[in-house]
Amino acid sequence: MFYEYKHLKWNSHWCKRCMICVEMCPRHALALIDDAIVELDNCNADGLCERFCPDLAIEVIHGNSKEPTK
Amino acid sequence: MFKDLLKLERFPTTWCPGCGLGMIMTQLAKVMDELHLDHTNTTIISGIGCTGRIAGYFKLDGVHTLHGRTLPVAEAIKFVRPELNVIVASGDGDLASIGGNHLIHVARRNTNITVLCNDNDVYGLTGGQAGPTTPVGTITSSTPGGCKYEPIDLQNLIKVGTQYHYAKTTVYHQAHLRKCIRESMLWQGFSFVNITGQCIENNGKRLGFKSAYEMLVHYRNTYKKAPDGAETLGDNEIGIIRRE
Amino acid sequence: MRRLVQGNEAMFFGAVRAGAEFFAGYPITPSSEILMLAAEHANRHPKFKFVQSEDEISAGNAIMGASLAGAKSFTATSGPGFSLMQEAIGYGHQAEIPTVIINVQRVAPGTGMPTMPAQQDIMQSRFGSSGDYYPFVFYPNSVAECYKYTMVSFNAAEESESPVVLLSDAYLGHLNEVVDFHCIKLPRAVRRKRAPLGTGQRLFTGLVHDEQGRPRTADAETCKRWHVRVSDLHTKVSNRYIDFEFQPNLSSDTLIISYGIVSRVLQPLSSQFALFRPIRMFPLLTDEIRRCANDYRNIVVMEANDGQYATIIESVLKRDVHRVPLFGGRINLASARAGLRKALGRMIE
Repeated sequence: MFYEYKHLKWNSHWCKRCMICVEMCPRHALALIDDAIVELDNCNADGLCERFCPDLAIEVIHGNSKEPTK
Repeated sequence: MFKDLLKLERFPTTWCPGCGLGMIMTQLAKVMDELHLDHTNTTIISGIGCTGRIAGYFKLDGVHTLHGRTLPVAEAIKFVRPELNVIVASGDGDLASIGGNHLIHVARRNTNITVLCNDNDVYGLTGGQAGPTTPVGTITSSTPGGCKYEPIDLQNLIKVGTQYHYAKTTVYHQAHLRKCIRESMLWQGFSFVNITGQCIENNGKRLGFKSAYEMLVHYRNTYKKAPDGAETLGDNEIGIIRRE
Repeated sequence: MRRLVQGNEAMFFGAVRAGAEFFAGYPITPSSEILMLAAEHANRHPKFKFVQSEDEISAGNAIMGASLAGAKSFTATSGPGFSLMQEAIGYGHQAEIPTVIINVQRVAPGTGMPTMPAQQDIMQSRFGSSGDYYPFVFYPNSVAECYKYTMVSFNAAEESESPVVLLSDAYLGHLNEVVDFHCIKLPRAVRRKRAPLGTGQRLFTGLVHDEQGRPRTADAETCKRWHVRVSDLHTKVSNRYIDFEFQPNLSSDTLIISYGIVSRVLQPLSSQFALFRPIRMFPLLTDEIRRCANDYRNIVVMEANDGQYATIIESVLKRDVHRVPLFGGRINLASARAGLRKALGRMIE
């Protein structure tokens, strides 16, 4: 159910493959490959995917986030 | 931790891929966490429609009412238990069409509840029919020739009393959405947050959007912050207007 | 202390006596006195909450919310308002919410005759909402009974965890009789079992749901289990509410079944006929009706409607009954005699 990549953790059970994270990522660091959301090489853990996922299905692994303060 | 307020054991949520409701749920949970709201001091009421399912995901006592009847139920709860924080989460059709009469009067009575309106321009759950907030000319599943009527003016409906608190925001503008929810919850009186959110499956695709992300971009490009101190929000403006 | 009390007034005070703390309603003849009394009471007693709703739909839903929040709640209306509340009543059954709906009936259908008594909501009180549900419905016939059966209705609501309908009519509601509330023997008020909102993590929904409150909208087994559990519960509770009055008359071959204000008007006929009066209209007093009807060749059902209860009695007794409908609010002994003469084909004293 949980896939851990270098910076990101993805929940294949909660994810609905809506593609918001893939399309939103400014560095195009995510892709849908073989029905899985996969972290590619240039992820910088900015947390945009985590913040916009409607299903809490992707998150930056604890401590790695560079989320800007409010 | 905001996730402690959610019934994660019931995930994945029932909503379509890309639906804006998951975003509203998350931002609401974040604000509740900030304000230390939990099942001992808060209850959530939701109506019929996709938004109606939101109550079932919160670790709170919640009421899933009949279509259009969140406001009479929420108001009665507040009368009986004034110490409880009462949050209503419902859709544009539930609140402004079938529930429209209650909206007028509960706003007029200025009952101290916070209403979050998921405004996706249509009746999503039943297949994307036109609703009270559908813009003129929109093709929907019940207006194949384009919607004939002007949408209801929610802002002016809420401004009916001497005191009011009306916020307009979108699911794209997350920090602003949290601000609207937070300030509405802290307001002593009736407060209404009109949240534009995407229904990609039963509205967006028919309008030509290829994905939920495209709808979010549309919200980013269309909506602008109203100037500080504005007393009225213009079309496509996000902001909060209030009068004590 | 003995004083002159109106039927509507007695119902209001019965509600207060039962511990009611919330009233939502909309003015409608002939029930408006109850709303006005509630408004006055709320003015003097801060713990009692009153709201004049914008319409009956709002009132019917408000009492559901108030009940979930922990208050014993009620509303009062008449036929047209009762129709508007039907969806909320069904919701209350599905979500298992105790509350009381008073319906002071008037001539129908439609706007009907706002000031004339009728009993035209018998079927509506049993079947008015969408779906299969098993409501408790009570119908007193005196001011003292208006007081007592309001308490009984609140108790039945708490025990069955469902909305209870308390019927009255324009005549009974506005009838003034001398009563002493202190002399009316009341059952003890049943206390609320379920914890109110703001204490747990439950979901109360109108969708078919499981025991944890999770919607189960495609599960026939869960749906069937709910029906079995709730109808069993209501049957069990009904054994504690066997409310009727039977005046046998073995010198007569005819039993007249009537209820509410009609039964009151028929009292002088007890020397000529046996009289049966259900006070608990639903669930049906099947065993009692069958037992009492056994000794009588003719069964007459006299009511201020076009045979609503008669239809039900026929299915209970599995035999035809004579129907005497009283229309247009004309509920008096003369019309009763005329109706009986026509039904039985003989003169009535």
